[in-house]
Amino acid sequence: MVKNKIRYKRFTFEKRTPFQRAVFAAVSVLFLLYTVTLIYPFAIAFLNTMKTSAEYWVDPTGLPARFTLRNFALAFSEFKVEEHSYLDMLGNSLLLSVLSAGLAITSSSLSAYILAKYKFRGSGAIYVAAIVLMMLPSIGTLPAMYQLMLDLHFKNNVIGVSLTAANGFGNYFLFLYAAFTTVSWSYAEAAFVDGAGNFWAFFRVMLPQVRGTLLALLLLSFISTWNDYLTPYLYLDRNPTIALGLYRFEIVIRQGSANYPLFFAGVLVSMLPVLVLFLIFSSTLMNNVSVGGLKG
Amino acid sequence: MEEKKAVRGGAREKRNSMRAARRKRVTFRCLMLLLPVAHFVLFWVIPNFRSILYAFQYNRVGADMFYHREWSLIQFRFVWEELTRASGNQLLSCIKFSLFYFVLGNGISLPATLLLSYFLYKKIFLYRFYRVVFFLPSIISTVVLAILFRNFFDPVTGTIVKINEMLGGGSVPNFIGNPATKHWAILAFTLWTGFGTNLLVFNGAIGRIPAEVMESTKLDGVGMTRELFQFIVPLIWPTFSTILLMSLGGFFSFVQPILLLEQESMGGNRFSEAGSIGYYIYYYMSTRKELLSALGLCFTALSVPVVFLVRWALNKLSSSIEY
Amino acid sequence: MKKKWLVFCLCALLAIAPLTACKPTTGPVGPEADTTPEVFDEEEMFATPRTLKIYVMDRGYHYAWLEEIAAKYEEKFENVTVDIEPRSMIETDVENTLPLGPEQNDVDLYFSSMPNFSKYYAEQTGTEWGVYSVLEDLTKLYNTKVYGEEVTIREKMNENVTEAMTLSTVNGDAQFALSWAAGACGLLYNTDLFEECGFTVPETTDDLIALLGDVKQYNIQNPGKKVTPFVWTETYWNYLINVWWAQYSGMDAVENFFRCTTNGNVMTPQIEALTEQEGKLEAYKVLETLLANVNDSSGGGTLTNKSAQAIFTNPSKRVLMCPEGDWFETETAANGQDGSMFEIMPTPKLSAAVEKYGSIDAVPQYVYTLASTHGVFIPCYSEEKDIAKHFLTYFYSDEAAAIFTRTTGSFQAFKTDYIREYVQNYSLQDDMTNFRAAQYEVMTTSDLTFFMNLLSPLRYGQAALEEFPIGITPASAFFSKQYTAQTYYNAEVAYYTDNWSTMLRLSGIQ
Repeated sequence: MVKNKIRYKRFTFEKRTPFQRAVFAAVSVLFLLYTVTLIYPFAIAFLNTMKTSAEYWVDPTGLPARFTLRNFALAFSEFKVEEHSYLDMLGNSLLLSVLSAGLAITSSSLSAYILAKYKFRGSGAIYVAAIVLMMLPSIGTLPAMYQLMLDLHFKNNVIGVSLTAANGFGNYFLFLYAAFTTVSWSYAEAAFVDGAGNFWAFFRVMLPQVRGTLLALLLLSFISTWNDYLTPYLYLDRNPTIALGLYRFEIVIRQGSANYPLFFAGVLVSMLPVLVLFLIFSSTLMNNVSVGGLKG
Repeated sequence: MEEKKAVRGGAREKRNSMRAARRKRVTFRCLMLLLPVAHFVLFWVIPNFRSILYAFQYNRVGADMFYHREWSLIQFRFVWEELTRASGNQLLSCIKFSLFYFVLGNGISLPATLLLSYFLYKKIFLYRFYRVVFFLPSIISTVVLAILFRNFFDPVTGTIVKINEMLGGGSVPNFIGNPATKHWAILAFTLWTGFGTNLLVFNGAIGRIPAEVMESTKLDGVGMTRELFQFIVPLIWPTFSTILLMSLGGFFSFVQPILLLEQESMGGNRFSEAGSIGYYIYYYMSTRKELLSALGLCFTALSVPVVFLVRWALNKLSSSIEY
Repeated sequence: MKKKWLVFCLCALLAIAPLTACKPTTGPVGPEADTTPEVFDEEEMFATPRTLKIYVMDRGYHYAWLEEIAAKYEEKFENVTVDIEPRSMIETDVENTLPLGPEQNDVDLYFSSMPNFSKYYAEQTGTEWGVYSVLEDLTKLYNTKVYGEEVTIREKMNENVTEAMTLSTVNGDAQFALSWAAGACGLLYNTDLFEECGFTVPETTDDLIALLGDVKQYNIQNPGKKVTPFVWTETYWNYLINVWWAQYSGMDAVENFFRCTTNGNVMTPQIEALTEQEGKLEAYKVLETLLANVNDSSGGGTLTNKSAQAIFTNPSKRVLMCPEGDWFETETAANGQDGSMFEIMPTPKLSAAVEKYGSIDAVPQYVYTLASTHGVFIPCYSEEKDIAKHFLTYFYSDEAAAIFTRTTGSFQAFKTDYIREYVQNYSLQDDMTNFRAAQYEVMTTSDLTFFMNLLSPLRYGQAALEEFPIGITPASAFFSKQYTAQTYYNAEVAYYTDNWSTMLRLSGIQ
């Protein structure tokens, strides 16, 4: 590892031809432009939070008259959708994300481990079936799924909705299957020799071997559920999460007071929990995603 | 005689203990697979089974003005008629736009992400900063991003008004609201937010290429283009093809950006002029569930060979290098 | 071993099957034409504490009017608490909560948009059949006297609006909702700007078109003080198109269009109801001419209503006219914009209709209203439905209507004489802003036209036929020059003609 690091360091200061330097310069400009397009909307939203509503309608893209964080303070109490306060929605988001992430990763690790490490009649078929079913989109089953959720009384039930995330044969299964394949079986064999059972070997010996991947997937799953608004839109309309709440808050603002500075404050406030999480776990996330997942 | 009994007894014991061990193994496997399989049955088998049932149902209105449910193949006829409508063909338009979003979206985003990660790997100036910033859109909620994107292009309050003034004034185009440019806005939004995790994935994949290989290319005086296309792409091909395969499902489920960028007018929700197949399904979820189920079956039947074909093609193209 | 797996799978399938089974049905129940009124035993009703839970649409008018009316009601009747919950997405709430039944839904009264009672009638919802499993039949309520007055609700309400709310079945007519707001929607104009430029309010569409010529002239002569004729929300042009169409073809023809039939029976659709609507073509021609030479200041003709309002109320933009509704003043006030100098003009009469009928007076004066899409209704399983109905008898009293008008500037869907009566009896004219005074003038001198989408299986069923099926609104089509009036109308006719048999099959009729 250290060796490679030194080698990479040499690469950074390697001589580049004029052509390469020109290319790098051009790409730098493009990167900078893209960065500006990413940062600017947040900056302008932040500036707008310091305006009054009247000020905003007069000059929506200019600087505020006064620099004040009043709207941020208000946002915590005003960011609500009907009877659901920010804290209510935060609680729902937290519960749903934690449960969904936990169930998804649990289910995936169970199936990935069995199929990666235990060869039995049908294991190959199950694996192929999982891959095929994952590639095949479930089109047109939305009405049937909705009806099922109604029949199971899972609608507006956060725990019920989180159960839909316990998919053992999805994207996370793929990553964990790949991860378990690289873990040597000799660890488990050593445990068996010491008298451990299959469950012990799994939970105490093999699972910890992939904890890097597990943690990264847990975080990805958590963030993905946190930001998802389609599932809550369908099934949690009376028990909204932050993402759905934000979507509905915009409608409340648009049809009501049109106090956009307050609205932008609400938008930025809604991002805080995920940003904090990212700041704490950024290296874990960014270093451990081996096969990757897609947004949206 | 007693010896034989002892031997038979020993063999029986051995068989019993083998059976017990096997039972233990089978129990272990079944318990481990209980949660995944239960989820699969409840949330995949049952909805798909019911969906298949819906596809063969038809609600006829009787003279008494009530719906009477019948079993029929008529939904498949409706699918055909929807596809071949002479005027106002929403479904065909949705298929067209789905292709538009998928082909252009992935056609631009995947190579662009690859290029981005290549230059990050080459440690372009400020690469650590860029890694974090480019990853942010996949952390931040799409709802937030859509709100800010819409705000930028708002023809009354958006920055686009200022830009328009600087460029000479005149009528401010409504990039997102105008039916003629709506699909470009949706595509632009998808690309703007879509680099995120793929970037890290490719970055990770490139980073796992053994240093010796990359060093040798340096020593051989290989240029950047050759390095990228003749070395890096083949070496990360399994990752690239997995991403591509996984994105195939997105063809039918692309709907969030359309919903988020649609401006709700007070006249109620009209069918978007730039809708995708996923949008069509979402829009008609409550009124046309039987037709949607039949449509889903048809699409699934069509997509099965396509998926296998793509998988075969990707495997053919790869040189399966192990390292 | 294989056998065991097979048996296991079969058992699993059998276990799953009940989950996939269809819901049980009980026999359908149809409405009975009823002419008797509700009878309220007030002593019994208010003997114990009762709570009336209301969901109210939180838009345009918001809900201060309901709070005040509810407070008055609570004063009059002891033991009643009215619990009001404002809902910004009321349509979604109705869709999600109505079918839930008494265990999961405790809402007693919805002030919402129109419930899809025709669809409910035909379908199985919950465990019972049809509309009677979700909505309370309010036919008797219509026959009941308004609280404190001698007139029944049916007599007081505008009969056309009531008809739009009527479900006609083989067993008779029934009403499942009442209208709770009716204001004037049409062309607002900037009175100050009109005065400054010396323009006069147009009486006919030819006058309106001529006005555009005057605007051009004015702009040439006053280059530093240019005015823009229009800014708009594309769907709000319906408020004018609908009026012109009704003026040319008659309200019956408009009704036929929405019911998709020419003989009044929604179960026998006739294509002529959709394809022979010359009035629509005439209306499109006017709109095309109006938008032909307009270069609006921003948005390309596809603004949201908030953006359009912001531009219209901005004095520096100098916009003359904007199609809007009766909520305009309340909404713009909430944005910190001043809407008081804007008034609604009587919708200019269609010149083609004037030509057709010989004189301007022969053409009826219509105004578009959203009365038919503001429906109040009661879930049939509500435990407080007697209180809900009793509350509604008070809601339609002059006292409550006056509160409504005073707080919102809009009116109830009463017959014109009854509107005049309560406005005058409660001296509401004294405090009216210019905007509201103009509203009152137009409402009491025009007949009502409105939207009626929910009556035909072609519209509420699987066919889901929309009002503008081409996928682009007329305003957008004409402004972007994608279509002319004639090609747009032809495209609509072609749509109906090409897809007629499919639409019939989709709706379950054939």
